[in-house]
Amino acid sequence: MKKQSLTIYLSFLFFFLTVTSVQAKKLYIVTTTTDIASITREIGGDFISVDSIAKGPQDAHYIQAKPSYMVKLNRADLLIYQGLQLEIEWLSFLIEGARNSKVRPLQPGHLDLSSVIEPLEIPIGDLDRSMGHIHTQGNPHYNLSPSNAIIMANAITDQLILLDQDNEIAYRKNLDKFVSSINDRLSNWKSRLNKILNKKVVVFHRTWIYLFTEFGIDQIGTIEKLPGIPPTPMHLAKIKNLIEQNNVRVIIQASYYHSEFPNLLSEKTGAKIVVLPAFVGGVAEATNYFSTIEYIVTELENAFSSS
Amino acid sequence: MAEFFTFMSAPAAGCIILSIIFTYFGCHVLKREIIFVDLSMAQLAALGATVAFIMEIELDTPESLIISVLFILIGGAFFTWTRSFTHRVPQEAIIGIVYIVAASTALLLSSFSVHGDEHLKTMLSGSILWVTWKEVIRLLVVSVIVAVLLGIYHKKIEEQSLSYKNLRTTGISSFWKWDFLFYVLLGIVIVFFIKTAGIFTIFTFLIIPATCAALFVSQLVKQFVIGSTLAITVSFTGLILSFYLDLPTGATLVCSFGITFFIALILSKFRFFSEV
Repeated sequence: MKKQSLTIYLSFLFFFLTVTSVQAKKLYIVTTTTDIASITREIGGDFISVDSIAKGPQDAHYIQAKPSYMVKLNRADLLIYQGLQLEIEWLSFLIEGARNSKVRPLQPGHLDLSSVIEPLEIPIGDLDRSMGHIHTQGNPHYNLSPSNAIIMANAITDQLILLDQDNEIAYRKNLDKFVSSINDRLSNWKSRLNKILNKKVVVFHRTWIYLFTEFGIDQIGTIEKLPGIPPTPMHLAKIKNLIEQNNVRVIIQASYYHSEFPNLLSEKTGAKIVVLPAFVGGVAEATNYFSTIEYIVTELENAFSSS
Repeated sequence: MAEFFTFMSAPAAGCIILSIIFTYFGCHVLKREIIFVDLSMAQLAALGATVAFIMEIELDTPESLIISVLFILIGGAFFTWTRSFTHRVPQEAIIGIVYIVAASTALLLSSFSVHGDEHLKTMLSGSILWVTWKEVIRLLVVSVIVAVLLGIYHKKIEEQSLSYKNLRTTGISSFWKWDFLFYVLLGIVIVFFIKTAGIFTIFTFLIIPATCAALFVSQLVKQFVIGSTLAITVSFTGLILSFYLDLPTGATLVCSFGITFFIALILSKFRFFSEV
């Protein structure tokens, strides 16, 4: 009897140890945005598990404090975030609260992807404080450019290899696969949008500059007077004139904004409102990085050609 | 369970401090019927921070804090002065006016700076979940200083609270010092707590425990003891719910207090509990 229970105990112990050691080998990665999570999943494959703090339809600028975020980051081997002050309102509190030395700044488990990106919209010259301080480092929405996705994927691969050299070959293979799929699709996306001649748009918030730069879309104006500041009546009138003078047919708004101002302008000018996901998961169809950009390109294509 | 203590000990300590200091103020605020004074004070502090920001002073620096406290002092002086009008208009109306004008002024000012409103939002929606031990110590020091002052002048403040509406019997010259002290101390506590706890949580801790206690007892000391004990119990329950059900901590706390309030309302209808 005793012997039997000992055997059961030992087999349980053995089972437990093997299970935990298998699990321990799997890198656990926490990302701030769903785009980074999606790209990381492509690179890490089965060797990693990923959780994103912000969900697709959420505005990553503001996140409600939930205990599970700290628990997740506490267990993480690697934190990857977008930077350029996108997560400035909450990430430092979260890192502090997670009590995990692995993910603190300057550790191998801490990766700020903006360090490898060429930021756009950095204020030039002597910085006037009336320009505010959030954009001093540039626009943080670089994830919307597929070329940047390749740069992000490279940086993520390097970091995964740094933490887990055993699977270097697999990570590099996945990176090559990811890069070639992006490149294939990118030429398709570009050729589809290049067919359109009038690619002038007005946007609600400065979310899309990287996407526009990639695809040669012409941003005529922003409905917000300044980022985060609602328009004044005079500014709205100015935008309405701009739309009419430039024959702008499309107004773009991220899926997490619910402002009435685009509707107002659309009513007055007949320009069409296009709601686009700013991150993976921003709309139901955008399940991963590829389908998100595919969705954006298709929506733009339809909006431009129907008008 | 160990995980709960790792993450929630500092917030729990924060809740104990909040429970004690704000229930005290809450009992007095309730007696004086100036319920929204904290929203007004918080908004004045936010306005101070916005002005500091426009003056190129970073948020959360001592300079920015000093400007916030300066606005609190002006607000405190103003509310003290306007009490001499309470025979014509209720103090609550004046508090409401200050709240809405301060809020809109801050919006006007922040329209000159990009993402200025983000700072306002952050000020109003802080979460007790992010609190660190360092922050807890800071809050404790502020609370102890305020509590000592309250302890010394307790009698005077209580006198004012009990005769708040009968100004003519007390006379203006005798009250202003203690009224001003009360507003300023409350304002200072709010300035220091608002970044950590956020305005909803602070309003909850100020009003709900004191209200629940006032349903059963009328004496200020009894209200304070019952209210703060209740606040600690309910906030701990809220933290546990937030952790195990993974709900946003601030909103969970507020709703836990809300449920407690309804239960207290119903229980107070039974004779057995009333006037213990």
